[in-house]
Amino acid sequence: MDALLDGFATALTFANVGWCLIGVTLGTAIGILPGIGPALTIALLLPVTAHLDPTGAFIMFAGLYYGAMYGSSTTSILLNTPGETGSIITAIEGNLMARQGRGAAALATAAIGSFVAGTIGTVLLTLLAPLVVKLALRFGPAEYFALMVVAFTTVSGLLGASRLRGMISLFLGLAIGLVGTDALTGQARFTLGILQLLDGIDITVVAVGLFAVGEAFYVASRPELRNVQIIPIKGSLWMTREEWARSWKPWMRGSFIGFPFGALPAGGAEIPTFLSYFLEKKLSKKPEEFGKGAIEGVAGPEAANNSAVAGVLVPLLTLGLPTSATAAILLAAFQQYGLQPGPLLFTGNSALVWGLIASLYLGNIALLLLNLPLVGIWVRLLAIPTPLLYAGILVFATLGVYSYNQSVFDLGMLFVFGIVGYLMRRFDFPVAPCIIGMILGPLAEQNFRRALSISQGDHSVFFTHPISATLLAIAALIIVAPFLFRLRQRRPSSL
Amino acid sequence: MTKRGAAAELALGLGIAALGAFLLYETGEIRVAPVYAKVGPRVIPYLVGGITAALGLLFAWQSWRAMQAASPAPARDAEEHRTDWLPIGAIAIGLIQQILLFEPLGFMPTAAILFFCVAYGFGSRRYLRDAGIAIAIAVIAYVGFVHVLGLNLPAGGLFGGGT
Repeated sequence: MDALLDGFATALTFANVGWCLIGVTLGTAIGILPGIGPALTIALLLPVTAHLDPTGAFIMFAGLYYGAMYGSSTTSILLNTPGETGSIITAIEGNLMARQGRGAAALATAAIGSFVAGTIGTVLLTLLAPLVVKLALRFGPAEYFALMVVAFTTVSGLLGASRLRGMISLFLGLAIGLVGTDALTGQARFTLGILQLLDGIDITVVAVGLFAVGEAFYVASRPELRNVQIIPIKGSLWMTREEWARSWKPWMRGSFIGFPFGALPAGGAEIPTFLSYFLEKKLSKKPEEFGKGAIEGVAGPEAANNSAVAGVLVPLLTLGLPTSATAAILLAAFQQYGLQPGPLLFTGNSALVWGLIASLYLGNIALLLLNLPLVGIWVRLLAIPTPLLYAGILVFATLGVYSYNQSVFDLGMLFVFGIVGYLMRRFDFPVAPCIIGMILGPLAEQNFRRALSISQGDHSVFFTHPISATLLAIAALIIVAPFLFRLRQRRPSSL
Repeated sequence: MTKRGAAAELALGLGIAALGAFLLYETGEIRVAPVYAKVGPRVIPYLVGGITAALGLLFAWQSWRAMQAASPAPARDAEEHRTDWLPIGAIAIGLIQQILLFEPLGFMPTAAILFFCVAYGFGSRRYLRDAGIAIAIAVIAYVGFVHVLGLNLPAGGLFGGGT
């Protein structure tokens, strides 16, 4: 508790409140704008923030991550295109509500639900982080390697259209991560004799290429995605007594569904929103309203995606383990400052960590104000014509990528990864495993080789340490279990 | 899935397998000092290359089976996956001209051309408005980044002398 109070002292300085406000405002904007998300924005901001004080930068990034989740619900409700993947479900019921002239109530339940869930999630983060840190202090390289293998299997198995596609995306990321100078021996790997590749490929180039350029190619190539219609906000932003009564339980349930999915390396904000939706449909007294604009179907998933974001911060801060694309880029941001998230961050940089956590409480309050009374202002962003929006995104994307190393070579790489990103979108490959693999791969390799140097080359080290053995068994189960299920299901049908 | 769609996926799978094979070949080129022979810089690259190749082949094989199963007549979802190549070309031209002309011409002209190309690719045909906004964005971004944030961008020969 003392640590959290110290955190508030850090977060409440004039400069840090300012960074928090910049973060949440920018986050809301990018959440609302289609085609640009928190992962892309933080990647683009990395070159700009390289010279800033890390505490301020991370307070801004975290506000941006939270804000994007708030803002994306507005787009989902009014436009029927989710601003972020975590809002896909909101787009269903929320948009139907808007079409019936209940858009304002949908926006209100989404914003208040996000606030409730964001705050509950942050409280859980506050309570849980010190416990995980205590556990993590007992982890050696073998345990970290095993944990990363679990993260690899879950992010590639649980995201996207098929496990095979997730695995391919992951290994593409791992391959990208291998390019450059080997950290332990100094040998050049996969550099093809190109000087610029000796330092490795920057996450900014890959993330911007896959997200911004690939997305632009894809959306432009599909005429039906280019034209979308905004539904004007109708109704009162003050929810009726009935709407409150129908919203508060889904908020609470959503919060507690979302958090563990974010916190366990189980792949981000999408799955808990689906779970919350189906749970609310089952529990609702008016299940017939689902599919026609049920307020529970907005309240629950919106709470779930916000508390999942708080959950994602637990493994990221305490173990250095990213479970979403945005978290992977945040990890890259820590590395840029020479910081390694994990238990040592809590002891060595406690002002930064607790200042960051405290700023989340403040950010949530600011976001409620930004997204409820001021929602009318934000909606105007949706009036930007799509061609100009994407043109602007690409100009700033190329600008950001160039300015990182002042290198035209990076612009060429950006183009290449733009094509890769387009192919991934076109053939339904999830992008997040690639980003996570690229960032986490080198760390996993280092831990793998350190564990083997400590054990003097004895491979059994991963199976004789109990924690590491358990984790690897979980990873194996995640890979094998679905195949076993499928075999069992197939047998009767083949008769 | 349509036959054409499956054929495209088959090609993609083979491409991924080829990438894996390339990684395996390149891993052999990594120099290893004898001290590190046991857990050196080659172990993980071999693993990554090998698994990538295997996954690519698996993907290609699945696509091959889908291709055999698909009816030769174009299914209805062919309509959904229609790809417009003109916009992709326009955006690609915008990006490639920037790579080629960034150093000789500088940031502002290439950024303005990129903006215009992307807007055109997204179906905007209001050329004058787009050109106006393109120039304004390029100038604002340049001034903002160079003078406010202090980043280095080439001004280009058109605007007073080199980079």
